[in-house]
Amino acid sequence: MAMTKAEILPQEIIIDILSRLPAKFIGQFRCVSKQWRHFLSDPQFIKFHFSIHNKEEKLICISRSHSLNTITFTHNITDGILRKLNFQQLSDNWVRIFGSCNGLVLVENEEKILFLINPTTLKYHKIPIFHFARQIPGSFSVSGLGYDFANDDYKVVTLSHYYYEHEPDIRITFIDIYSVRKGLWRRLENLPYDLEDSLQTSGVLVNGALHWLVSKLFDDSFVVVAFDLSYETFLEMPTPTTIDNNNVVCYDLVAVRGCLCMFTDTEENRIDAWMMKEYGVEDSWTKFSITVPKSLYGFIPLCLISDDDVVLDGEKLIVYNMKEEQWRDMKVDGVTAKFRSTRTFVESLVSPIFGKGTEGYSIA
Amino acid sequence: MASSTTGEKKILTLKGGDNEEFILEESLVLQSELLKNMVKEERVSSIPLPSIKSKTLVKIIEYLKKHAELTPSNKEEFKNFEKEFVNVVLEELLDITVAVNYLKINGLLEFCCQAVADRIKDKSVEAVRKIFRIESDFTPEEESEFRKETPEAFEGDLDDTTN
Repeated sequence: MAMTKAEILPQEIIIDILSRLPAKFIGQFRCVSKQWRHFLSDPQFIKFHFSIHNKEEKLICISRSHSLNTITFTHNITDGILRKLNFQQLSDNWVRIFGSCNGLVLVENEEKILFLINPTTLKYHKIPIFHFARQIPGSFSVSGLGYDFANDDYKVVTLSHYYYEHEPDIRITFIDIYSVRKGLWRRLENLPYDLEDSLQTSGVLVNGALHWLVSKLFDDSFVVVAFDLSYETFLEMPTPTTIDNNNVVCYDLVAVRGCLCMFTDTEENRIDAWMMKEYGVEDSWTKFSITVPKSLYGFIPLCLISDDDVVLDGEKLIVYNMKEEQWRDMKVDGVTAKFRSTRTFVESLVSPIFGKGTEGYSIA
Repeated sequence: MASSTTGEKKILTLKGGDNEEFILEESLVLQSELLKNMVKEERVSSIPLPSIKSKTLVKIIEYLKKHAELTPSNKEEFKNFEKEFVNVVLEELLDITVAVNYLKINGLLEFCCQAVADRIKDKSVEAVRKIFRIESDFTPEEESEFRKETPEAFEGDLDDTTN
């Protein structure tokens, strides 16, 4: 038989080519042959693929009608393309997006059930309810998603704050951890800080740790704490020395380009953002001030889509050009982008399903 | 075999699959890890490359020349050249990619793989099988089951052509 292209095309070249395809195209190529199916499902391939594509950020948002959608940026940076996510057997009653990690997104529905979803492959994993963490009046909880490098495991960390009306002195915050690999919840010791009602932010993933804004138990000054996902310990992060933690109100944390950013309350026409350029280094906190009209006060940066353009999230999405100090509404399918909740994620082939006992429908 | 020289510049002959000979400066082929090792260790002046078609070799030599001339000031021009370079029928692009992999020209290999990926991403499964000459080894039941598994991938128009 004559040598054909297929026979002389080495497998490593085929893998190199396929790893450069956007994640959404990989699914159909698994149907080419058994061999392709095998290596396109291989965890090593999935990791390699992610390492090539992990800079391409997209947005995931919950619409006014509680459906989940993704937004892909187009060449014209203020325009986005909306794609509605239809999960088999799940209804559109989403209320909250907590965060994302390696292409997986942690979302919560109306019934306060958490789901780990992959918006690219549409695979999902329903996280069982932790029976210790029953909701009682006056309690609230915030969650975060991260990856534990040491155990190759995805972990959901939930801080549940309990406040008993008849015993106002008792305020406890429990730390509960769900291991996706084991499919089990565990309760750690109590959080040695106070979680404020007004600061119901998700855990912000930077450098393998989830970060929260909390306050000290006795003097109410704010602290940024980092929860290491492998060691499962809390560490206080250094904050800028020029900020007086007792007087300044810090109102949100986000991750932009892999750096932790926090926002402080100042004058009404300005957003003061601090970026920790080098993780854990106190001197690396750098201040950025964005001058905005009063109507945009409280908008929070989501991501940078170019070196100068940042997407801000508030009552709508806007694109702010830091060089020209100009902002424009972001249009999604031609309409001003107004969503209930918006976060960033990166497309990947990572499966949200590790073990058995899940309600997801896939074998991949 | 001693290498022939013209002044300071060493000259090398590459022999393509159909015995066509290409004479070029030795410095150009040093971009290929494979040829670099052959030249340095074995001090050859003529290298037969029977697995590479002359047509493919012409393209690669053209690239090596352009790449050697690359300076910060002609970056744009080089980018346009690269775009034109991969603007060939897919079969030819695969020939080039395989040859570049064999010759170990790393930067160009990445560029070619990306170009192939850009060309095949909208292709239907049938077209991809034809391009890579792969016979499906799934039963029809397996295939329809796998297709159901990735519903999102089959939305939109897929391209059935193979070039």
